[in-house]
Amino acid sequence: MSIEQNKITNMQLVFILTGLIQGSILLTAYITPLTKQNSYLVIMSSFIIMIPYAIVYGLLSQMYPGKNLIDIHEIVYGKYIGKLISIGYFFYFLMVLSFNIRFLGDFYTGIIMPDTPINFFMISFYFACAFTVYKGIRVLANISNFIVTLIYASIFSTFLFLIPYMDFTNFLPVSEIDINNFIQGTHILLMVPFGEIFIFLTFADNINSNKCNLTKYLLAGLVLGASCMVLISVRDTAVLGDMAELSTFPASTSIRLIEVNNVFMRMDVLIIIIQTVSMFIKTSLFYFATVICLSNILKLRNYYPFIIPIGAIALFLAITDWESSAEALTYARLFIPFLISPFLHVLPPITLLIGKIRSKKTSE
Amino acid sequence: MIIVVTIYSLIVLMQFPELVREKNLKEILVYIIIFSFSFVISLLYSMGVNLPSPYQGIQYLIEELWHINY
Repeated sequence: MSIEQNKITNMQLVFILTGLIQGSILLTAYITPLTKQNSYLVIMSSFIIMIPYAIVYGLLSQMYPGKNLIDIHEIVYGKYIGKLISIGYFFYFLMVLSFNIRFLGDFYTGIIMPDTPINFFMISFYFACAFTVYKGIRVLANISNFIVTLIYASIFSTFLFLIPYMDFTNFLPVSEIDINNFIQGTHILLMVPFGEIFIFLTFADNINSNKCNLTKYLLAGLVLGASCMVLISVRDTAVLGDMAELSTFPASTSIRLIEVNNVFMRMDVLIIIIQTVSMFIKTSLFYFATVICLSNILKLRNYYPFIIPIGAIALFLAITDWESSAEALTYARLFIPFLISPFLHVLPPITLLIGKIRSKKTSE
Repeated sequence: MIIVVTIYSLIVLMQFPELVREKNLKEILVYIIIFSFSFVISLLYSMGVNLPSPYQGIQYLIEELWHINY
């Protein structure tokens, strides 16, 4: 069932997925205390582990062209179990949506305006995202092209500006990392930015060329997003060293150091802009997925009336999530990976396997 | 509280007549349920009622009941 008639191209899908991963660029702050100078290794290991999963997601979309996640569940698991699994995914999308709204609020109150009530930022952000969801996936895809390019340009430029401040001995000793921390860091990254590319299945019926294999486009988005994260991690570790693990937002701390002939100073404003726009893409995408998921589960013709109420519920969850950003950090490190694992890395391969067996039986 | 009631009233005034005009009973029903839930929690929050976060329950489930932890 295709509710949204606006179609996006395969290249726009790449940009959307890159934007989605870029939306978690400050997540490196979550893993730095665990992985210290080896954060870049953890990012690369999660990326490598993610590749087979991206292939599974691509194969799922190829096996059921023109179908979205909810349709696939109903075909594979049957009407009732399929719906039950889809409801689980609805809550997963809603949870990530609320986390992202909260994370933006924490970011603003933690870095720029500590005296302003967090609710002000979260409510403003919620309305901005709601407006984008109202406009549809195509508008989101169009702005992703511009935003992803902007983020890439700013990451490269800050990297170049910070080269004089870099000390590559900060990476030593290489690979001296506790195995448990390495696994935990990999697990977090596997779940939060990389595994989230799974979201494309919710609007797979809105992708223009459904008949072609989307795996290469998923991988392209993954490569572009992961390269961004590696660049940021290398930059922050080289510049800050051990200090990186003490900072709540290392990217902001390192960029603040930039000073070029008294012309380019206080460039942390740049990181604020980057973070806001990248989180805007990610949050809008999850917002869209939540609303479209609900509409498809209940077989509704139109998702527009549900944008505001669903967003209000997510906003409420964001407000009551946790007391401080330190609490958020603990939650992200300890619970979120376990909570999300079944949705991103357990169910999709099972769905593919059952789907394959079913199609084989049918052809026989 | 007044702000919440005003915003929600405005949303209802904008969206509900259109839904009624389309005469899709299922959509109207789903809308009423989700909208009411969202309105009630927003209202309670604005009145200062301390509502528990579902994430605390999830944390309890993972940590205390299932003992899944690093």
